[in-house]
Amino acid sequence: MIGKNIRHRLKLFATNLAVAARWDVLIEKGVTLKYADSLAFGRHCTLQSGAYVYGSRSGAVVRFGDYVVVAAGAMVLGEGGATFGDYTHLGPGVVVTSQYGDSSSPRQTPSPKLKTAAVRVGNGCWIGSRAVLMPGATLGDDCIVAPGAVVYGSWPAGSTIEGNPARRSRVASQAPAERPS
Amino acid sequence: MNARIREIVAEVIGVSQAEVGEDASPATLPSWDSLRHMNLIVALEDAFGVQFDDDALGRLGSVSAIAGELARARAAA
Repeated sequence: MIGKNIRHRLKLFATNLAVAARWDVLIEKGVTLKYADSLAFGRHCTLQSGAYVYGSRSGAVVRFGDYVVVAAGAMVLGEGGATFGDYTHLGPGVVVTSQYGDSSSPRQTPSPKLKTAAVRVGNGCWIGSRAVLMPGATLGDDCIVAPGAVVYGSWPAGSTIEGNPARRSRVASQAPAERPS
Repeated sequence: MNARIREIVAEVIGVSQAEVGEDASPATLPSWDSLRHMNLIVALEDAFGVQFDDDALGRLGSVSAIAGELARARAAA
């Protein structure tokens, strides 16, 4: 069992090196990348410590634009594909999932059946810490997602959303003079 | 209003409008799973400008039930 674990860690280390050699991405300590052939990065991306990016085994692509930051401990599950636009920031502990269990299929199996739906995040989006983007979630450019929000469905450019399920922020919808500074 | 609800249900659940009768539900439409149910709630709230109470989220299990909850949410707004 020890040999199996050592081989696995070496494989993960080699994957990180291969990704860093191919793409303009800074990979900090403790980052885990899986199915890296399905990952694509633009310029100056950063994967902070503890980020976990799981690509796709089924031909989908997980694409990061330029200057995308995946902060410490954030997780991207990309089986169904995902796109992150330029200057988008995934905060600490954010979870982005493009896959979910098919509850109509048997669960007591080593390979449970999954359903997938791609996640699309536009340019310049800020995803607050520990928010969750659910399969199929789509955010236009310049959206802000409050910390801890759980995002379903499609949101137009410039939306500020919060809560579970995420809805338009009541604070953001106030007139500027009424908002907390 | 029900025609618009059926239109949204068809789009979000991923079926044709012809398959969405008044009693369409997760039991009659296999693709109406828990994720699409939440997507449906978000789409309905956006389309009709309402916000359902948390207690109502589990009661939106058919087109007719959605119509009833929408009427309640609009009256409360």
